[in-house]
Amino acid sequence: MKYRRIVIKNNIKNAVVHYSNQDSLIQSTGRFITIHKHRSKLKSLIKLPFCFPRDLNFNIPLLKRLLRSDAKEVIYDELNDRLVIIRDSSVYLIQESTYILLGKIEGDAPLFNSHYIQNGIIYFGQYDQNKNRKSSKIYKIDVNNKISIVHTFLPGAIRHVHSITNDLYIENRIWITTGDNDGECLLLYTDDNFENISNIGDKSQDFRIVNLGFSKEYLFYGTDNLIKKNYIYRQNRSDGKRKKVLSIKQTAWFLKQDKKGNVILGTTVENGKGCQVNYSSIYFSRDFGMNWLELLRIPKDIYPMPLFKWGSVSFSNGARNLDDLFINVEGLKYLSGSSFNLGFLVNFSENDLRRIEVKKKDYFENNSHLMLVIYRLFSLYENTKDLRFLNLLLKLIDWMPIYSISQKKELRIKALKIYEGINNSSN
Amino acid sequence: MRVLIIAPTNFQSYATAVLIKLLKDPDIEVVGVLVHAFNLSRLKNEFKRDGKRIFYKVLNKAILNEKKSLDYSFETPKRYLVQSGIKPNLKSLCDLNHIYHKNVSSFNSANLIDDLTNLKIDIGAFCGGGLLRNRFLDSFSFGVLNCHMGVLPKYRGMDVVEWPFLENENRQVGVTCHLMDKGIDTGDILEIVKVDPGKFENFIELREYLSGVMLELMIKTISSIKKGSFKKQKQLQSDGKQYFVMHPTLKKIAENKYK
Repeated sequence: MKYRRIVIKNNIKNAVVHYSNQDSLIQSTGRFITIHKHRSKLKSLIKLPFCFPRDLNFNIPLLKRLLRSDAKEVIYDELNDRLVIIRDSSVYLIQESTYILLGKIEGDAPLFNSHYIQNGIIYFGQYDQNKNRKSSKIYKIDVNNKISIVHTFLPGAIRHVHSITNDLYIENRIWITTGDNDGECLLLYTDDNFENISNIGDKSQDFRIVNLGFSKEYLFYGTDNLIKKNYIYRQNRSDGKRKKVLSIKQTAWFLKQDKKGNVILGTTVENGKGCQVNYSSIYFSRDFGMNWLELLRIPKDIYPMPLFKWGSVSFSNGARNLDDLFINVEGLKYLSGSSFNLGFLVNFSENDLRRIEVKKKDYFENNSHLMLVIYRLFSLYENTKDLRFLNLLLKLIDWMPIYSISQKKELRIKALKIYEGINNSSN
Repeated sequence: MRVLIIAPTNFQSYATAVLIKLLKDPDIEVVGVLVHAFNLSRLKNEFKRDGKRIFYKVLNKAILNEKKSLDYSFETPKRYLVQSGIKPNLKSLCDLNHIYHKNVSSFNSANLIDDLTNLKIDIGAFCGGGLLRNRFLDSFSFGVLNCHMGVLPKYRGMDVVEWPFLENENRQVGVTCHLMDKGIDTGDILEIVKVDPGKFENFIELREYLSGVMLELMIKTISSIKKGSFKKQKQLQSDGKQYFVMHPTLKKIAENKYK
C-alpha cells in the first residue's frame, strides 16, 4: 500500500467512484483500487490479482470497456472500517497493505453498488449472463468474513439478482429486485432474514427494477423495461397500488437517495423498444420521488452497444448527503470513464455562472468538466429559460478544444434551436 | 461640496466632460482627478475579462466612433468637448486648474486611502476604471456615484443596453445613477432616466445617446445631492440579475430584434 498526499477534485477522469462521503472516497480503475481519506489527506493504492483477459487492457479506455475491466463490486462497511471487493467471482478482504481471498462465488460480481450491509453482515446477489437460467443465489458475508448462501432462486425462476436494499422505514425489511424477462422480474421483500420472501409485483417487465427508493408511504422506482415504455412509479405501501409519476424515454437502472428526501435516478441507453432516445438522463427529486427534474442529458457515444457497453450512469455509495455523491459515466459522449460530483451539478447556480464568467477557461479542471457544464447548461436553460445560461453555453461551446469543430457546430445549432423554440412559444 | 472624479484613462471624453461641467458650477469644489494608470497588468486583466473585444472597444472608441459621434444631432461627451474646443486630457486640465491629479495602479492601496481621507471628499464621480473596494468607497463622506448604462435594479453588469432587447424588454433601456457598493451595480439608486430606443437606428447610436444622458445625469445628481433634494432607493440582491458580456451570436440576434 502506497501513501501519497492528494487533493480530491469534483471531477475525476478515468476512474469509477464506488464510495464517497465527507470522510473518504474509494475509486478504481481496472484492478487498481484507490482509497482517499479526506481528513488525513492520505491516499492508498491496492492492486488486485491480474485477471485474464480482463486486465489485458494496456490502460486503453476502449479496451477496458470491451473487456469489462472495471466490473467489480466494492463494499465498504464504514462502521467496521472493512473493505470487501468482489471481482471475477472472487471475494477479497482488503487489510492494510494486502488482500485476502475469502472465497469464490457464482457469477462475476454483483451489479454496481447493489449490496446491503446490516450490522456488519454484507448481503449481495448473483449477477451474471445466466443464459441457461441456472439457479441464482443471494450471499452473505458475516462479521467473521465467512461467505454463505442465504437464498437460492430455483433454476428458471430468474436470470439474476439486480439489488438487495434495506427499507429505510421498516426495520429489518430487506428488498430484493430481480430480472430480466417477463416472469423473472420480482419485487421481493423479507422481514426475517430470508426465511420468508414475498413478491409484490406481477413478475412482468413492468416490474423490472434495479434500485428502489423509499418514503414513509411509498416505494418509488424507475422501470428497466426493454419491451415497453418506461416510467418512474410511486407504489403505495398500504394498498400496493402504483401511480406513474414521470414518463421516461430510456430504461432506469440506478437510484440513490438520502434521508432528507433528495433522490437521484439515472437512465440508460440500451437496445430495445423501452429506449426511445439516444441519450442518458439524470433526474433529481427533492421530495422522495414525488416530483422530478431532469438535471442532465448526455448523448450516447459512437461505440457500438453492447460490445462497448450501454450508455449509463451509476452512483457512488456512502453519501449521507447527496451533495457528496459521485456519478460515474460509461459509454456516453465526452464523459465516458469520468466521474463527477453531484453537489456541483445540482447546486450549479448564479454563483457558478459568475465564477465561470470571471475565471473563464481557468474555471475548468479538464475537458470533461467543461463538457459536463455544457450539458448542465442545456438543461438549465431549457428549465429556467434564463438567457444568461444560453449566453454562457455559447461561450463554453467556443472554448471546446479546437479539434471538435463539427461537435461545436452541432452543439451550437442545438442550443440555438432551443432558443428558437422558447422564443417562438413565448411570442 | 467637494467632488473627486475617478477616470479609467487620462483621455476619456466622459470624465473630461464631467470635469469641465463641474468646474463651471461655482457651488461645487472639484478636488481633483484620480486616473487608473494603464500598465501591463491592467492590460492583462482587461484582456482576460474582455478577450479580443478589448481591441475592438479601443479601436471603436478611439478612432471609428470619434467621427460618427459628431454626426449625431444629440449631445454626447465627445460632441460637447469638440463644441467647447477642449481636447480630452485630464492631466493638462488639472494642471491648468491647479487641482489634484494622480495616476494610480490600484484604487485600493493604503497610501491612496490616506490621501483621500486627508482630502475630505464628499462625492466621488466614477467614470470607469475597475472595481472599487469598501475601504476606498468609505473614504468619501457621501459615497461614490456611478452612472450605469442600464436600468437598475433589473439590469446589472455588462451589455445591458443589448440584453433587454434579447429578453423582449425594450422599455428597460436607460441610465441609472447609483451609489457604488462592493457588489456589481447593487448600491442605492438615486436617479433613473429611461430612454425610448425607437428613436435610434442601432445600438451604436443608442449607446452614443446614452453616453450623453450619463453625462447630464451625473451632473444633475451631484447638483441634487448638493441641494439635498435627492432620494435613495435601496436595491435587494433579488431585485435584479447580473448580466455578462454578450456572446456575438446573441448580439446579432439582439441587433436583428432592434431592427
